[in-house]
Amino acid sequence: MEKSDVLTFAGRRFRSRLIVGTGKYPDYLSMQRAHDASGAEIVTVAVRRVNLDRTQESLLDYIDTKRYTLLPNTAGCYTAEEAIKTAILAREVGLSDLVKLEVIGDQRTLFPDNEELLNATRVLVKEGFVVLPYTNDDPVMAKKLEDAGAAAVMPLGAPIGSGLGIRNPYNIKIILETARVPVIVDAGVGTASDAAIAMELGCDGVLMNTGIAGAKDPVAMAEAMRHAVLAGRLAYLAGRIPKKLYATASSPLEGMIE
Amino acid sequence: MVYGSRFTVDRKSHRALARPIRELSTVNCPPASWGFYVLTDRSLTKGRPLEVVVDAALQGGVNAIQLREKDLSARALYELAQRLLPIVHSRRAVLLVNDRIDLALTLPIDGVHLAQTSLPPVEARRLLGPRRLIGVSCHTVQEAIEAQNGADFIVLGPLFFTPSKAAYGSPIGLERLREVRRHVRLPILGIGGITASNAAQVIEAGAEGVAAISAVMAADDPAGAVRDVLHAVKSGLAVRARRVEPL
Repeated sequence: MEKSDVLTFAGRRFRSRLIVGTGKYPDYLSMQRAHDASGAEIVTVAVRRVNLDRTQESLLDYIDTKRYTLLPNTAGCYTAEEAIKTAILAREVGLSDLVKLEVIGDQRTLFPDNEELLNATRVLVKEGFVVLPYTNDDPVMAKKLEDAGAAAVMPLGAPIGSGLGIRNPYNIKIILETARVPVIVDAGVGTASDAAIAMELGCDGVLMNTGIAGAKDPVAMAEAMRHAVLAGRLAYLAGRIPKKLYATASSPLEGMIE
Repeated sequence: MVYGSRFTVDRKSHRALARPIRELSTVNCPPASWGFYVLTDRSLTKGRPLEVVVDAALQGGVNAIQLREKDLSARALYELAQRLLPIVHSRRAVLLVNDRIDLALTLPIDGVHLAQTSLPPVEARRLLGPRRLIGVSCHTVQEAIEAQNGADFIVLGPLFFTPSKAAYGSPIGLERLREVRRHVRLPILGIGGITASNAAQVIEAGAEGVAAISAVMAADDPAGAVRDVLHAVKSGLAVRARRVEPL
């Protein structure tokens, strides 16, 4: 793969196309080891679930910010107002001006509230944030978010934490055709092949938490995900053969002795 | 949307100077929807004034024109652009200028087209702000990847053989276009030897549109030439929309 094949958004460049989370790990040490094994360069942190008071022990103590770019997220926010406040808080305590914007619309499915999401995106873009909104696999919504100034769009593959994989690859394909900003699949990845499928479709990256953190061996799964994202990307760039109903011989028969 | 009348040379206040910029039509005319991007070369127009050929091209349905007269001085370009702007804008099209960021900032020009020898797109973006369009001419995957940092679209070529692009090396072909398409999400316009008979293949290979100089500038009927190319672009898009790859 060319050295230049990097994930680029808002003028920042990342070699790794895998973004990992910080929730649900058995302990901080296994989280650290999983992050290391994943090869990720971006780590997302739920602002509302992390101890921002650095005089006490915090999840943040276990993320080396010289090595990883912190991506604060607004998980647990149900209105644009909450999400905006959370993002501003994260910036004020010095976490980042990046934000993975989540505005949840429903507790059971954790599907986004797109109306609130779009409003929050507009406000935060105006406030100078680099906004990466978590959205449905809806091409129209993706376009609206892009037009509102989102630095990337993050459609779900399936509900958060469900591990159901990429449920509607055709929608993701359409988003990829129309989006001019990076498309990062966020949520739904259950195992390595799910991540590879997202990348083979042409996605620019994959974000996952539960798929790694909830695995029996998070460190081994993190490594599997690193390989899957890389393999999927390489396969996409290599240009796959078309699918055919009938066989074509592996060794051409032309010029063979009769 | 007509700023021909508002746009006079004798503007006095800074406020008036700033006004036309708010009227850039780039939002309503994004590069992915252009289909055809026509570059000027007044040496090819067989003696016809450039304004006449550009107007004919616009009548044929072109949405984007690039003023590309590399031999002209800043002043001569400035004057030519002043004459072209009302023509282009009255047809709800956009005008970009080759390389000259200064000129784009001076007039309500909608964008700048950069060569690989121009300022880097990221610097151009700093100067031009978010609303003006930036196009970058690219020939390789690497150049296209780099262009993402600042550009709104890329022009890729030369795809086929063309006298006007012969100096830029041998054609890169459609396979290179497919490769670049996999790497970048920016709109791609294919250039170099574009005609009504090959434009559809360019679109099928993954470009959003095509760009050409001589196909329009040297045409006896520029409006007809544009219509033919746009028709081919449309049929290419239709083929792409019908193509369902099993996932």
